[in-house]
Amino acid sequence: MKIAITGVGIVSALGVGMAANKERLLSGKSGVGVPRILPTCHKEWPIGEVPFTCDELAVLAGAESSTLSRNILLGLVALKEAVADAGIQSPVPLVSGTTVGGMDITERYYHRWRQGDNGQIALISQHEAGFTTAELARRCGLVDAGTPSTACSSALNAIICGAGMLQAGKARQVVAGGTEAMTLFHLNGFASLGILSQSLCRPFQPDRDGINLGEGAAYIVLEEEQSALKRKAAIYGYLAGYANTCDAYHATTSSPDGDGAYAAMSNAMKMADIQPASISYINAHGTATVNNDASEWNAIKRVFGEHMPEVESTKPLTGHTTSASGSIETVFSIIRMQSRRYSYVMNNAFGFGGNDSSLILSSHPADLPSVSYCNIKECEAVETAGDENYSAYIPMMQARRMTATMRRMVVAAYKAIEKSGVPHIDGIIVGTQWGGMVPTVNILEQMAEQGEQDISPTSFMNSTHNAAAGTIARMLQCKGYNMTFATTAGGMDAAVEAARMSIAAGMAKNMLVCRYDEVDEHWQSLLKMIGKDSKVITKARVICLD
Amino acid sequence: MEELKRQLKQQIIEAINLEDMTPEDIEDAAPLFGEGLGLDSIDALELIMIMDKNYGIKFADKNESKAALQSIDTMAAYIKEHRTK
Repeated sequence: MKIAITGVGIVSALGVGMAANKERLLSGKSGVGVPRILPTCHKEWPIGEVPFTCDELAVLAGAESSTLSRNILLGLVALKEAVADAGIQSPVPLVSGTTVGGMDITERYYHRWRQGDNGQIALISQHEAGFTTAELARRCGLVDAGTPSTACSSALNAIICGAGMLQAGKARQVVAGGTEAMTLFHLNGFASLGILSQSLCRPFQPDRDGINLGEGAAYIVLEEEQSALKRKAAIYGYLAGYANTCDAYHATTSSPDGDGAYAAMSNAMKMADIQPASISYINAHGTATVNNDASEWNAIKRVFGEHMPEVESTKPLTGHTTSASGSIETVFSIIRMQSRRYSYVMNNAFGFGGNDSSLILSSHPADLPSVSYCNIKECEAVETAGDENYSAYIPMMQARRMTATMRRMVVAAYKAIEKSGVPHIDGIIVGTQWGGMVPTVNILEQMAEQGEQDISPTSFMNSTHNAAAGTIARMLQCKGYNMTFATTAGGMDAAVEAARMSIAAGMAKNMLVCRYDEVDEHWQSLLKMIGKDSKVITKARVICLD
Repeated sequence: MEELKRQLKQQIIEAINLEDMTPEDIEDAAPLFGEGLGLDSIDALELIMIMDKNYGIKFADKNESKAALQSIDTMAAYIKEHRTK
């Protein structure tokens, strides 16, 4: 089957809409500068802000009020453009990646809520990453089909999930991408890791010294080619291949030789059935940290050898738009492919947790394998309680980084694998409602107490939704498909369904599927103020080819 | 100096969650990273925060912090010379 791209919507520091972004990308004028909208005291770190306040974004998005999170507002602006561009008029699926969710709202009110002031407490429900997608879908007449949350590769993994849905025949059109607003939370979190630059970032340069963060959103409309041709839709290009892998090396550091990146790029080329010489351009992840760029460059050299394509990082233009970077840079790859008449271009997006993904686009129709469901066995599920003795499974040096719930999760994973009798796990999918809530609230508490300083780097690296999947992958040395969904529903159904599809698509044979939810007592007391509750779930099962 | 080292070990144990360890388990001269205690780059950031918060020490660059954070001995010596609180 063939997948065409028939719609695009984008908002970034370069401006609102495809036309503005294209003009600025081609002219090379950066949108990175001193923070003006984010209420931070750290003016020393330049960022790529979308140059509009929330009130202005609400007007652009046609939304009634600015009580929506900046994340939703940015997403709405880009999504409406993509939907209109492709002329979508029916409720097609939306897959949208994010990590911060409604954090910009949470951090605005948290210091008051924690003191019992319940003004605006209803807005706390926006915090959930899954809420962002549900709200975007509702406002655009689409169907919420999931929220990939794999840190900085979230939006690229959303596109990969969207492609899988078309290959499986679940839809003829899918809208996929991601949105991420700047927050104090992740600005200070990245600062705690010591990887922010005080000047314009310099990807792949010997004197590079870190990231400029950025924000934005982008969506593309993926459409089965026959459907696109039938309605004479304009076609930007085609999806030729993709891969999702895990570096399984360290929570925040890439392996020196870039094994995960190497596997992502080579597996994507395998799917596209092309040789390195066919790729003309790579939109690299290129964050401008010493570690990422060295690791990615080594991986690119290993893959391409003497056939080195043009390698570009567009992060000096937009800043690192983290969870949205995968779709924003897919749009930039489309623009480069069109303006330079390239046949094949590649886009890399790598995230903390070792979540490495690559996507290949082509200017001409490309064949992708169809997915047919095969016989799949669901092994027995294991649910762990709070009194597990974890020391038999987790070495002390690793356990010390984990919250009690994370340890329970890892034990459930090991026990589920034991029960299944499967010798080797080659894919991991985790569903979680709130992600790492204990480390998240720890950082919110630190910011409420001491302002924007001395954030714990350990808490920040554990706060992302994909921390559990990354941890388990490292412990199992599982370098295959690795995915985390932020999911509002409490069960494992969404993750199990995603596992079935990934196995059918040949991305893994023996998948570990987990449901991970952590409760923080401060957070719990806030949720009670709106009559909500959260509970600890640590459940795992293996799903495999029968 | 011995009191400073003991205090430092306690602060490290708390900051990086070495729950099952006591100050006596950490040798003064043993490397903190790699082969020794087995700490990594994230721990290094936590140690830099201990130096700042508890002793008012801010490192000028990575080479300086790397040299100071080799072992309990090197940390204590650096603190003795550079502490501002």
